[in-house]
This record gives sequence, structure tokens and C-alpha cells, in this order.
Amino acid sequence: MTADHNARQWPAGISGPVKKEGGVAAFRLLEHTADMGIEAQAASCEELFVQAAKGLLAVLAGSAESIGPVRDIRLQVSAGDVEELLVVWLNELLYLIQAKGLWLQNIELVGMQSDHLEAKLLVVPLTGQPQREVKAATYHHLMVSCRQGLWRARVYLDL
Amino acid sequence: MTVKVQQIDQCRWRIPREGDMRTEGLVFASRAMMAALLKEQALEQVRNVATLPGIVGPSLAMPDIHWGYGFPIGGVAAFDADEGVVSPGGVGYDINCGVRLLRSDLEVQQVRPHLQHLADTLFRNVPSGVGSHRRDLKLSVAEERKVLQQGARWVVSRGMGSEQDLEHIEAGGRIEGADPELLSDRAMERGRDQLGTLGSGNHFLEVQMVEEVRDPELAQVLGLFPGQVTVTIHTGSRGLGYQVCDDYLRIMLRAAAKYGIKLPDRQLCCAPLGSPEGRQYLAAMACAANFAFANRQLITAWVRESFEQVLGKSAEALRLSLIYDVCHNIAKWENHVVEGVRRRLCVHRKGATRAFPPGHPEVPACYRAIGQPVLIPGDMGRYSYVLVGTAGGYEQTFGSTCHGAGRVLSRHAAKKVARGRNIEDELAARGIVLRAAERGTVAEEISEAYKDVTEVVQVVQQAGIGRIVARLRPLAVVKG
Repeated sequence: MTADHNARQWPAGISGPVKKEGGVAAFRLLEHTADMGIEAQAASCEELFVQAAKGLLAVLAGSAESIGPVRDIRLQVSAGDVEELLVVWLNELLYLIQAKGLWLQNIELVGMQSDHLEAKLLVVPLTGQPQREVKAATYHHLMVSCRQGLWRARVYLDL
Repeated sequence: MTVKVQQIDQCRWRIPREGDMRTEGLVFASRAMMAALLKEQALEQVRNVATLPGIVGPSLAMPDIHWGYGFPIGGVAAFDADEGVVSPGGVGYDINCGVRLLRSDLEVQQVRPHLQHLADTLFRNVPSGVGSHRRDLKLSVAEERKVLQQGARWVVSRGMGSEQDLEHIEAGGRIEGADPELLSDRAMERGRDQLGTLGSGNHFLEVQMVEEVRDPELAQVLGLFPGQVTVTIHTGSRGLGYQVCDDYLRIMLRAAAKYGIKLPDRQLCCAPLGSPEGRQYLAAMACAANFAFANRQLITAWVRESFEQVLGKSAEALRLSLIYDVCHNIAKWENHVVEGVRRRLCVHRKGATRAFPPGHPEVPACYRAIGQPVLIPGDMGRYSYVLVGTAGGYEQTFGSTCHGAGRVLSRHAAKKVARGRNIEDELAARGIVLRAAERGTVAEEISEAYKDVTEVVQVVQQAGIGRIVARLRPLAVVKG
């Protein structure tokens, strides 16, 4: 797997609590004058993408109530490189939530290469809509890197 | 990263050409605005846009400039037809997000007793908030294609509006060259349910009153008078536009590599205007732009319906007519004179409004003597402005000006400021009725989150890129 190994600094203006899930896996939301960003870290690229997805759910405003039958969805996503893959992945999830009216109960990456991933999602129909509308994950200041075994990502969302 | 800026005069700043920049940057801002800008990343984005191939004139930023993604919000850039590029990031996800202003013959005292009822009726009739839609509007794929090709005219052809409405919309409510075949199934799907919806975030519908007329002669031509009731609608192309932008960004990432275009930020990915990718994006963008025109026209019909229901008179009797409808996220082919030579340029306006001068053939005949109406919303607690375009703007900014107040607080910071306060009560104390789908949106959209739009339009007027006509004050606000 390839990744951007350039030493890049985390931007200033980080807000909100860090959501840690055991080990180094975590995400936090970044401030932006008009929009919002997600910063994630994990011990593997797979877990990094899961953390970024959890960040997206937090931006959409997590109190979205969801009841109804739970079902599995298999999702395959391809892109030119790992950074683009992150944007395409998040936009695919946005489509499921905002266009298909589904909420994600569990996200598992079952296969991953630098330009392709396969995910198993546990979804439920949304009964109400998320509080926030996210237009898309953008390529602005997009970053995925791996240094000394720690994977990090930064992506900005257009709200 | 530090960006060098040189003050030209009270409201103009130059970013000198250096590094990969092909031209200089020109920022319209007061000294106080520039002090704030130097602390964020918008100036770097002005500089990044200046590196794009075929840019003509400076990389411009209007006084409401703030940090965007790729282009700054408030960014304007013109590109040569042969050497230049088109960038979906220079238009944005919400293609043809824009504003329209309706006037009426009503005076504020006639409406104030009905304001709560009017706000409730508008909130019920105009779908707002994430995922909302009108149950009585079902669009087939064939009809959606017509919307994408015909824009606002499709709505008028269904009896919702008039020919006069169309004359009062930028580009007549239809951008030419739209090709629905170039849209993904997903874009079509996302559009079908969302036509005639306001959306959420900073989109809104406001009943307002003309609080102050600054230029009575211009106001008279626009049909505005003090104490008059007006309505502003701010929305765009909804999920369809977002999907078109996202689909074409992926295409443009490959195109930029294919054509050897160096990108300082991947969100600026682009293709030559004459390339298949560039032409296809413009044809797909036109579809989304037309969807947005149709969206605002449908909402207008429901605004008229709401006034009729509450006030018991027809929209015609209330003379609830369209003053103008402007785009502020768009790329358009325009003719401009640059250094004495007439050139065909593709002008990108990302959070910037076209503001054509008096005498321009694209300004509707009824306004041609005074210039194109320009609609500048402020925030939900203070005021908005009506301006007209000027010859100075045509020369300096390719006929462009600001599009709003511009945010100063992030959403998180705005929520922090709003914590413990009842924003609805605060607005009510100022005579403003609020109806909102989400409380969270209200906190993020408080007045303090925005610059004072008065400061913004003062810079516009001082720089000669717009002329203030009137100030509008909100009476009832509907937010998604």
C-alpha cells in the first residue's frame, strides 16, 4: 500500500473532544470558517477510514434517531490513490445517508488496497433526518499519511 | 504560510506575483477585514487560483472573502477561452446557489398583524430542512430532464410564474448548453426529490421590510419604497448540484494530470476549456444551474401561494413580483474588454455575484438605465442590501461583487456563543419571527457568526464595484 509520507503539520484550530476508541484510534472535528473538517488517526489504514466515517456521522449530528430492520450492505469503492479513496468513501456514505435515508450502525472494512476498499455496513432506515446537511467531502487540504505505523487523515467537508 | 499583501488604497490590496503565480491577486477589503484575513487561509487560496493556466487579469477576492475549499469564498477568476481552464471547485458543490428578491405593494403595518401566521404558512408550504420535500410534486425522469434543460421556464410552463418573472432572472433563468446525458444516475436521483426545497445551513427564506432607501431614484426603478414588504429566497441546486460537482471533480483530477496542470490544492483540479472534459463539465454544470433556477421559481410560487392564503388577496393584487434573481456560484461565458481588447472569457464566481453595469445588454431592459440589481443577504438578525452593478465593477472585477456578509465564526464557535441563549426569543424581541427545522442550525447561523454586511457593502461602494440602493430588515425568517 502506498501513502503520502510527507511530514505535514496538523492544522491549528482543532475543536471538540477527541473520540478515542482504544489504542490510538480516534477522530476529532476541525474548525473551518464556513465548513468543518475531520482529523482521524489509527494503527491501520482500515481503522483510519472507519474513524473518518465516524467523524462524518458526528458532523451530521449523531442524534439522528433510527429504528427499523437492520441489514447488511456490502460496499466497494475505487479511486486513483488512497487520498482520493478517502473522499470517495465518505461521499459514498453521505449518499447512503442523505439520499437513501439510511443510518450506519456499524462500519467494517473487509478489504483494502491503496486504491480500493470493500466495506460491510450495518444500516437501519432513518426515521428522522440528520440535523446537518453535508454537501460533500472535499479534496481541499486532503491528507492521508502513515509514519512509524501511525495512520493519519485530514479531510474537509462542505456544509 | 505567510501571504504578502500590499495596500493599494483604502479598500484594495495586491498580492504580488511570486512562485507559480501567473498573475497577481487583488483583494477588496477594509483594513480591519484584512487584519482578520491575514489570520486565516483565504489569501493563500487567492494566490493558489492565480497559478491556474490561462487566468486573465488578477485572481480576485470580494470583500466578503473567507476561507473556502480550493477557491476562496468570494473568489472571482476569468479564464481565456483558448488557454484557460474550467474548475468545478471554482463553482462549488452548490452550483448556482443564488438569491432572488420579490417586491410587493404591501406595507409593513399591513403584514405585521399576520406575521406569525405568514411564517407558519411559509414554513408549511416551502419544504425546508434536511430531506424535506413537497408531497404534491412528483417528478418523472423525463420531466426532470426538461427541468435541467429549461430551468425556470419549465416551472412557468406549468403555470407557476410569468414571462415577466423569466425576464427578471440572470440569464433568463436558463443557462444554454445543458446536456442531461452528462449527469450520473445518482445526480438525477438526488435531484428528483429535492426540486422545490430550501435545504438547510445558510439557506433561507425571509419576509423583510425596506428599512432605508439610500438612493430614491434607483429604488423607484426597482419598485422599492420605505416600509415596503419584500421576500428574499436563498437556495441552490441541492443534492443534484452536489453530485454533479463531486462526479466532475473526479474527472478533473484525471484531466489535470492528463493535461499536465500543476495543482497547489487538489480541489482546484480543472481541465482546459476546449477539452472534452471541460466542455462536458460546463454542459453538466448548466443542468445543475437550471435546476437551481427552477428550484427558486417553484419556491416563489409557494411564497405567492402563502401570501394569498394568509392575506386573502391574489399575488397579482398584492403585486408580489420578482425584482431579480442572481447566481453566486457559477462559471459563465462572458465578453469583457481587457487592456483594450474584447475577449471571450469563462468567469468563475465562487461566492460572488455578477453585477453588470448600466447599459449592458444582459441587464433586463427595465433596469438597463441603472445597472443589474445585486442582492446581498446579511444575517437573520440584522439586514440585507440591494445594490446595482457599476461601470467601475465591470472594469475592475469582470462585473462582479460580493455575495453576502461572509462568516467570521466557525459553526462550533457560533454554537459556543449561542450556548445558554434563546435565539428565537432574542429575534422576537427585535420583531423578527423565526421558524426553523433545526435548533442547531439556528445557533450556527446567529448574527455574530457573520461580518456586519454593512461594512462589506460599504467597501463595495467605496471601491466602485457596486452602488447601494436600499437596506432590508427581516420580519420573518424560515431556516432549514
